[in-house]
Amino acid sequence: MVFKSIERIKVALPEITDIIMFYNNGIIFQTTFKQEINIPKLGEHMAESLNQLRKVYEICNFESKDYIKLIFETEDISVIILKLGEDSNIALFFKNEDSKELKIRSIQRYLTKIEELIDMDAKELILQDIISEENEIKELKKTLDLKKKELENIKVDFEKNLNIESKDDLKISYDKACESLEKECNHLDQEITNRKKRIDILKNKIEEQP
Amino acid sequence: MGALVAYFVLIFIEQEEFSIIVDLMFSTEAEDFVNLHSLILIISMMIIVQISNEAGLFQFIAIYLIKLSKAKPIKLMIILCCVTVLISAILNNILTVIILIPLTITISRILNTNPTPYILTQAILVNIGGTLFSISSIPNILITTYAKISFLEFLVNVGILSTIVFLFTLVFFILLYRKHLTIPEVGSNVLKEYNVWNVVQSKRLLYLSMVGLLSLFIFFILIPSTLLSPDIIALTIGIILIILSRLDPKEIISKIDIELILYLIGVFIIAGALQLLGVLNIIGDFISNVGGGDTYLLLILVLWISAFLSSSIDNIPITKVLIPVIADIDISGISSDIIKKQLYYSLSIGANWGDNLTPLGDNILVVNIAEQNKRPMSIKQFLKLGFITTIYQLMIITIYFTLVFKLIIGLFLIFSIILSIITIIFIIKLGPKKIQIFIIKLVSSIRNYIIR
Repeated sequence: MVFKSIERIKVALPEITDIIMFYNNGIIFQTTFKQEINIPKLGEHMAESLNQLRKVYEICNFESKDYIKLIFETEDISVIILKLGEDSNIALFFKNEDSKELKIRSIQRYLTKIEELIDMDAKELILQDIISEENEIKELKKTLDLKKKELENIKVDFEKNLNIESKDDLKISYDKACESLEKECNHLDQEITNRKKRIDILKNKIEEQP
Repeated sequence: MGALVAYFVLIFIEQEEFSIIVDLMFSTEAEDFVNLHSLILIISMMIIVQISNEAGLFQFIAIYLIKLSKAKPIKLMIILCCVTVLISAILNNILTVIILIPLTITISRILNTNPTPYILTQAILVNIGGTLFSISSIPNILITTYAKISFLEFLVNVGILSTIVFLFTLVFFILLYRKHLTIPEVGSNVLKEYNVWNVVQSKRLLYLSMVGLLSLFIFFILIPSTLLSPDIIALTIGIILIILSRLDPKEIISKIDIELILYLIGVFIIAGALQLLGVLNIIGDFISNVGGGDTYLLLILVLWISAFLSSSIDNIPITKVLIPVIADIDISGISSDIIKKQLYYSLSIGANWGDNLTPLGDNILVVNIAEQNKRPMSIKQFLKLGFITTIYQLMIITIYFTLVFKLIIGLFLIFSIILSIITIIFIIKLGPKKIQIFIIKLVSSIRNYIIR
């Protein structure tokens, strides 16, 4: 999946010689560089260079949102580091032939694909929580409906049997059953309200995300 | 600061010679230079661990095993927990979380899953890893060097017990989080593409550090400490690794934690001063009196006291102070040496595991690392899970001691626990509906309380 996207990027932009996908903590997910070079150090330095520039922004009091790209150009080889997801980046190494400019737009969709695959952001995580809470609410509502139906059925049964001789005994068991079912319904209602509150909290969290 | 106060008290109030400070730092010949041996062993282990870390050995093992999980959530949980215990058995707790937590968060990004349950369980399990081997933590090194407990002896008496408690803890975690562990199908395919060799600097260095660590364990087991002490074995392997690794020795040595070494020397001075002034004798007598000469009671006391003390103060000074306290406890009889060793094992378990009773030390570090990696978590979650898990683990050890020293009470305890579990399962399956609902609700609200 990620491999295919890398291949497509290389086909779309043949001037790219090597690619590194790395996280801000320096861990490299995938690279086209051969294993003979010190790959963990490579990731460490790539992440460090981004970090140093963030510090430069801080010192200059620039209100930095997330970076978009970092370009390091030399005579023969240039590097573009692009931000992928919340915590991931891709570095594209390319030869400076005929001083052509690298057309990033042509590979944007592959980059988006890679981002989806290797880096889930915090918003997505919260969304997953919301979906699971909503599913729980659905289940709880189903149970609540069943309990309510059961309660109604008991009431109907009781009214039907009002004329029988042992109606006092029936009344006691009827009251007990109703009481227990009402308690369960109240509990379910409470649980649904709690979960709805939790969904609200989670939605607020999403809004707080950058 | 504490060491400086100890210096002034010893030199100016107690009118001792300056040489006493040197004796406290490194111990005397009569004490077999235990402090010096401990320091050499700790420094040597730091060198070996540093080279293995440079090679990427620990990350390599972790990712290799994680890939074996094939992104199955429970399998992943089991593997992450095992990896944590295994790595923390070699590294100290702080280094273990520095390596493993970012890795776990990265893996969770790839797998589209919430890392919180995995991070919490890992942070708690590093302490169990700390009691697997005699070299797994500084308290163990201090205890085993002082009490002359061999690597194998420690492994058999504490390591195996820790493994059993680890399995119980693992089951507890799985039961607790099983509903929250989900991984989308797509993550599994992406994980397959994660190249495990990306964390390795060079294959040669990786194999070399593997051989180095393996030979260290083999030599620890095979060579008796009377012939060659563990610190010299570790130092020899460390130096051979520096030479063969072709890494810059200056760089390796610069990464030795000098702050920790100085801290240890300070702790040695304070603990020694307390012993000289007779404070430790008083504590020893107090514990002996409370225990009333009953080995079982003494073991339980040492276990719980050391656990609760190390939850609020760092476990290194606690261990260093309690070692001579245990040595001072009056135990008569032929088996006094065996009982003393049991007390040291109890101290090792309490001092290492008690750490999790409060969310201090490496747990704060875990919260910070999680935040740096944009997966913030609350300290409250740690407090609840850490406290409950540690009490659960200490209870298991208490039951074990009860079984060994008070067989009938121990058997009765185990029988009662099994019977309670069977009764609860029976009620849930076949009991009256009302009680069934009550128990299920109770269990689910306890679970929610712990994990939320």
